[in-house]
Amino acid sequence: MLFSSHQFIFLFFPAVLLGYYGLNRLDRPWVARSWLVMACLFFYGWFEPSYLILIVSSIVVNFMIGRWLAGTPSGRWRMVALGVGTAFNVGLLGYYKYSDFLVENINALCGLEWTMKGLLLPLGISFFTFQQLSYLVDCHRREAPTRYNLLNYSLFVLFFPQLIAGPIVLHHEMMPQFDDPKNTKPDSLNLAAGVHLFAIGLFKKVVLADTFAEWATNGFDVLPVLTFWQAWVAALAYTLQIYFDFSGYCDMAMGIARMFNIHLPANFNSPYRARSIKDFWTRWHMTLGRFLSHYVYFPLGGNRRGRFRTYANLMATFLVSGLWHGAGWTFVIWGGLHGVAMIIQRAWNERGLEMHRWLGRALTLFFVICAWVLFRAESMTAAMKVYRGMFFSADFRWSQIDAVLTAGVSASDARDWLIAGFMMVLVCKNAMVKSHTFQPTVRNGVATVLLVVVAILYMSRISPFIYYNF
Amino acid sequence: MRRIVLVSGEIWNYASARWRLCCTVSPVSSRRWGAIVISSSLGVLLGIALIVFTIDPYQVYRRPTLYKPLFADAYNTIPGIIRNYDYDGIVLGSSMCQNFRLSEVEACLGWRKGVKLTPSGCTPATVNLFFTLASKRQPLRHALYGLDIFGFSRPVDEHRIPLPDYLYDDDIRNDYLYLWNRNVLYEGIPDVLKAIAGRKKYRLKQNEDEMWAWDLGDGRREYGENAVVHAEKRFGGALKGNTLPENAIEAMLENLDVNILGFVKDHPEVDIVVFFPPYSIQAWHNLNAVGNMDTYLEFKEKAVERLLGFPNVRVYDFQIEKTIVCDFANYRDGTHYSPQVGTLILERMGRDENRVTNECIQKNNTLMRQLVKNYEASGAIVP
Repeated sequence: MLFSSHQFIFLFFPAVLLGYYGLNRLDRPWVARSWLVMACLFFYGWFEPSYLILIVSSIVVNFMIGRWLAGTPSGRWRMVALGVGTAFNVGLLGYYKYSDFLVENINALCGLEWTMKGLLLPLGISFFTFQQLSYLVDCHRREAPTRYNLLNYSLFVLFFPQLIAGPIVLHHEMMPQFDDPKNTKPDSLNLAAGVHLFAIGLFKKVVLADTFAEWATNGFDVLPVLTFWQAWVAALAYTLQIYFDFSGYCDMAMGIARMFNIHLPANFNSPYRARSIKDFWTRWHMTLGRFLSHYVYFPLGGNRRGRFRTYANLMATFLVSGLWHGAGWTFVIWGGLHGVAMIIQRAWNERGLEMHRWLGRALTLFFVICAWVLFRAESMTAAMKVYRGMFFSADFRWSQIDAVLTAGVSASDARDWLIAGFMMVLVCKNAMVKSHTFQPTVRNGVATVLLVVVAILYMSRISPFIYYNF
Repeated sequence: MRRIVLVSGEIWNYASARWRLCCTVSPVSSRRWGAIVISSSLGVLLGIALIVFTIDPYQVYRRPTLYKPLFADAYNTIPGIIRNYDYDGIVLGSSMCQNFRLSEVEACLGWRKGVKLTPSGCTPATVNLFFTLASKRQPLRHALYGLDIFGFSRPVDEHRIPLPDYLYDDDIRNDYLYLWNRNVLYEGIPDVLKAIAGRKKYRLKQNEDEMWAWDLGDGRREYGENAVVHAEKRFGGALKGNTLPENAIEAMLENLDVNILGFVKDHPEVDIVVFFPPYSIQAWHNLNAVGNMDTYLEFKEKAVERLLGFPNVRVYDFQIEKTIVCDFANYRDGTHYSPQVGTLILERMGRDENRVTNECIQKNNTLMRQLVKNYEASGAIVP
C-alpha cells in the first residue's frame, strides 16, 4: 500500500490511528502496540503476502540473537553470535538482492551459463536489514538495553511509516518513544503538524516527482538518441524527481509518525544547497550516511590510520553505499564517483585551499546532477547515451525537447516547471525546518488544504516510490 | 480626493495587518486547526466530486441532458457511450473509420441505430474489448469493423494508451478516480464549457452523427499531393515504422485469433462486416521499401480465409480500388482518406460491391503488387 494511494489515506491510516488511540484508553499499552504491529504486518503484506514470513523470521532471529548478546556477560561466543547474526542478515540481503548480479558477473567472467533466479526483491529489505544489523552491533557493544520485548522490538522494525523506505532508525531513538506513556494519548499539535507534513510530502510526490518522472523516463528509456537540451532536461528532471520522490516519502513518513507522537529522524536538509560533496552527504539521506559512518567507516578505522587509509576507507564506504542502492555496476560506479569526489575534497581541504561558497555550491550541484545519470540509467549504454547528449551533442535546438516531455506540456511549460522545481529546492524552507517551526496558522491551514486537494486530484496516476526498489 | 486616499490607505493598513496576524500568530488551537483543515479538505473534495458528477464530461453516468453531448476524448468517453446509449450496431476500428457518418452507416447497412467505437490508433485488443463490453450491454445485431492490418503486428494485449480501468468496469468503488481527476478538471470539463460557450472547434465535435470525426467539415484539413508529401516528410513515411519481428505471420494470426475471431465465434447472432481500408499507394510503397509488404499481404490472405470460415462474416476489400488509392486528392497523408471516400465505401458495401472470397483475395494481392510496381516505376512522390 502506497502512502500516496486513496486506500491508505482514506481507509487504512485513519482506521489504524483511531484504533491505536482508542485501544490506548484501555491502559494496557501492549494491546495498542499489538494492534499497531498487526496493522504494520497488514501494510507490508499488502504488497506481497508471501514475504511476511521473511520479515517475521528476520525479526525473530535478530531479536533472539540480540537478546542473547545483550544478556551474556562475556566470552568468545558473543563474537560468534554477532558473526552468525551478521551472516544471517547479509546472507538474506545477498540472496534476495545480489544473487542475480553475482551470477550474471560470474557467467560473464567465466563463460558459464548459470541460470538467474529472478527473485522479486522483498520491499524494504535493505532498510530493515540495516536497521537490525545496527541493533545487533549495539547489543554486542552493550549499547542496547536488555529490557526490550519481542512486541516492542517488532514495532521498532515494522513501524509502517519507516518500514519500506526509511528513514533508517536506530533502536535507541525509537524504543523510548514507544515506551513513553505521554505518547499514548493524542497530541493535537503533533496531529496538526503531522497533517501539514503529510500534505507537503504528498504534493511533492504525486504532483512534482511524478511529473518530472515522465520526462526522465522519456529521456532515459524511450528516446534512442538525445540532443543537448533533451539530455539536460532528462538529467535535470531526474535530479528533481529523485529529490521530490524520496524527500516527499520521508515527509509523509515523518508526518504519519508524528501523528502517532513519534518523531522520526530527518533524512533531508536541502541537499542541493550543499557547498561541497561532504556537505551534500550530511544533507542527503542523512540516516543512511549516519549508518554508514557508524557501522562501516568508523569500524574500518575512519580517518585515524593515516591519509591513504582514510581515502581507502572513504572509497570503501561509498562503494558499499552504491551497492546498497542497487545490484548493478551503474550503482557501484555512482558510489565510486562520490567516493572519488569525497577524496578530492578531503585532499583539497588538507592543503588548506579554499573555494568560494557559490562556486562550491554550483560545482557540487553540477557533479550531483551528472552522477544521478548513472544512478538512473538502466545500463552503462543508457548512461552513455545521456552523457553524449549532455556534453557532445551539436544539436542545440530548444524546440527538440518536446520529444522528452509529456503530451500536452509545451517547452515553455517545461522551462517553468524546472525553474520552479529548482527554486523550491534551492530557496524555499525545507520540510524539516517547517516541522520544527510549525504553528497552526491560517496560512498553514490554507496551504495544507490546497496541497492535499491538488495532490489527490493528481493521484489518478499511481506510481511507486523510487526508494521502494532499494 | 485626499480623503479617499487616506481612507484607502487605512483600509489597506488594516487588511494587511489582519493578514499578517493570520499568518504569523496562531489564531486557533491545534485541535480546531486540525478539524477545520480536515473538514475543509473533505468539503472541497466533495464539492469537486459533485461538480464532476453533475457535468459528467465523459458521460460515465448518463447521456448528457444539460448540454449537447461532446465527442472529444474517445478513449475516456467510449465506455460511457457503450453504457448509456441506445444502439443495435457498432462501428469498430481506428481513425480509418472516424469520419463515417452514422446516418450513412445505418442507411447503407440497414441498422436501426449505431454508435462509433473508433478511437485513434485502436488496436485489435481494444476492438475486442469494445465488442465484448457492447455485446454485454445491448442486444447487438450488427458490427462494422475497419481492419487495420498493421495493427496486428502489435503485441496481442496492447492498447494504444493505458486504458483508465475505472471507466471501463462497472465497479462504483473506484469511481473516485474519475470524480477526483485532474484530467477531468483541466481538460474534460473545460472542453464541455468551451462547447457550451459556442467555440467552433468544440461545437463541431458535438455532432453525434460524426462522433470522433477528425475532419470536422470546417475546411481545415487539406487533401492532395502536397498534403501527402508534407506528411511523408514530417512523419518519415506512413507505415514505415511498423517493423515486423521474426515469425511475424504467426504472431499476427494469433492476434487475429485472440482478439477478433474469439468474439466472431462467440456471437453468431451478430452480422459482422469487415473491410480493409484503402491506404494510399504511397503507404504500400513504403511497406514494400522496408520489405514488409509481402508479409502483410500474406496475413491479409490468411485473415480472410479465417474470417470467412464464419457464416456471420462478410469481408470487403478497398485496398486495390485504383480510383481511390492511386489518387492523392483523396488523402491527407499516406493512409487517411477523406470523408467522401468513407461515404463511397459505405455505399459500395451497401450494394455488396468489393466483396472478397477466398478465391479472389489471391487475385487482389496480385493486383496490389502490380499497382505498387507500376507506381514505383512511375516514380514515387517520396522515395
